[in-house]
Amino acid sequence: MSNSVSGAAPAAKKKKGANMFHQNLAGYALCAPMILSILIFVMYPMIQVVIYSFQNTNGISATWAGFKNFKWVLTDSMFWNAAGNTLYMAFFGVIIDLVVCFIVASLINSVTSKIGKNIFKSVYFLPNVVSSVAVAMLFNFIFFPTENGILNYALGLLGIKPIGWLVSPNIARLSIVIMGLWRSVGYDTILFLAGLQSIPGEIYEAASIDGANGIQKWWYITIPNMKPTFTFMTMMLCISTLRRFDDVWMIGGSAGNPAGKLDTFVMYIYRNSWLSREVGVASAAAVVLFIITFTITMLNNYVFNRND
Amino acid sequence: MTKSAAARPKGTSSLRGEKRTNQIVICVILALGTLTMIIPFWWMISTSFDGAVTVDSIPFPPRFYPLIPSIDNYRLAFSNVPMIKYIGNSLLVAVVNLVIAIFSAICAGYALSKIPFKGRGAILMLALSTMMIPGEVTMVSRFFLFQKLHLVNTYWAFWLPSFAYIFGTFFAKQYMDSIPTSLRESALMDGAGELRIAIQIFMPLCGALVATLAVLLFLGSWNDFMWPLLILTSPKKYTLQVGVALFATNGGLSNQPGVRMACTCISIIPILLVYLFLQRYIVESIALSGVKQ
Repeated sequence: MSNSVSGAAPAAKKKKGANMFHQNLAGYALCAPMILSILIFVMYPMIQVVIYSFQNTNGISATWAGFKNFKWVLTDSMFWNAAGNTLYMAFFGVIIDLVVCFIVASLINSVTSKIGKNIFKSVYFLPNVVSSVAVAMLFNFIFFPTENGILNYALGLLGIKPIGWLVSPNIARLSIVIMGLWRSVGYDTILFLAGLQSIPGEIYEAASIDGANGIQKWWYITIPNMKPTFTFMTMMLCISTLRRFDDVWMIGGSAGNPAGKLDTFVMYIYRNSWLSREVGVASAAAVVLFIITFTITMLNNYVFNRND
Repeated sequence: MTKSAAARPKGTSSLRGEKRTNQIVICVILALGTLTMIIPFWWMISTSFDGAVTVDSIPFPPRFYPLIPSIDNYRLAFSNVPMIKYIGNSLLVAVVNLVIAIFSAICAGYALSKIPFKGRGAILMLALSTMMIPGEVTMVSRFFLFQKLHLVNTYWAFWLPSFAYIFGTFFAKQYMDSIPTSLRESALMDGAGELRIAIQIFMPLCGALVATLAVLLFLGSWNDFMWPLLILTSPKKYTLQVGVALFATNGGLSNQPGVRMACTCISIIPILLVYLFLQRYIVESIALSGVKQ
């Protein structure tokens, strides 16, 4: 008996060891496509872009440059113009988006009929599935600068003179913000709706018993309870507006016209690497962009954790 | 007693009436909002079918119906821009992307969820942390990487990176965590390999997830603009977005707004069809994920 036990134990152990080996092998093998792709197409380019940013390079041959590229970028008036425009559009874009989408989400949430809710959600979401290229082509006509444009015509009925939406340097950035809002309102509304639906109903019932009306409940219960959603949305919108490229490229071309007002961070990177082959400078700008987005993410995580 | 009994129903009915007016007001406000969503589309479609807008400028005052209904704009669009070719290219890119990304996500998600192998926590952490790197930051070096690999102007530049579908992997793992592990064990007893278990047993059980990911991937790939713009150099390989965008920005047919409207319409019709049939999935999946693709 003791013999058989001592004989079985090592065999089982051996079998278990072989099992473990097979399991590890299978696990790595199944993850391999993903891991390899991450290493080759995300991690390696990330390291490479940092290396480029310290080099004089056109992408093929390179010499060491130290901090020269960063110095160049941070003293380049074009860069600060692009950064200013991006932050301007990000600031107004995020604020307008948060306010509008939160109000729309609150309204949709208070519709009692389920079918009505779904119809509103679907219609508001519609522009989001359309590509930014198509949206830009469409808004080129909607924002047409003479009274032939549909928007200027509508304003003309109210007695307002035609506005040069996309051609006037002072207004172009806000027009892009409006265009972006039109496309993203449905998406962000749905994220807000998810947040609204996670607020427990009992709080509202208790407030109703205490005699609170709808607006009071919205102000004193809904808004404070939505703080985590607001934090998350602010971060997400900040990062996505800092990455702006498609729509400004379509409207303003690679120079960000009118008068360089539609030049952005990513456009600056694009121009330097593809049009003037200053890959080192473009990479330095990309590293700066990464540092900014990384800081925003970390800040958001910090606020999020502190709230918990 | 009778007084209060009489007062109560009256009170509730006025409350109900107030609620109804509230609902009506809310619906009217929302309906006005939906008009701003729909009018631009409607105007675009009606202009594209308007035979009177083929030449010269957009109609003034704007009209919301075609004055002379015709498909001339579409005929001109198809004869001036190789739309069919572009649509085919876009479909090819999107469908292969979708298959690769879902395959990779299901395999990795299954392994991370069901196979207790060493270092899976670390792998998940690594994958999730790389989601913080925006594609725009690495696009410069990624482009030169593909140049070194001689894959510029090929669709491999889209397909190979889609193996790293971290978002999908994460959701596949979460989804599979709720499927009993005993399924894997009994399949192993029967001598099935892990890959077979992942694809033949677990993937069909994730039907809803796979459908959602497929829709999101298709939308993302179809509407992608920047990376194809950088990678594709020969017009024969252009995807729909790049083709239409370059046609428009190079001033093609700029004096024929009707034709440009027709081009835009053609470029969004496939995606509108997808949305029409799958909008339930799309809307739900966004609420579920809460992550911008």
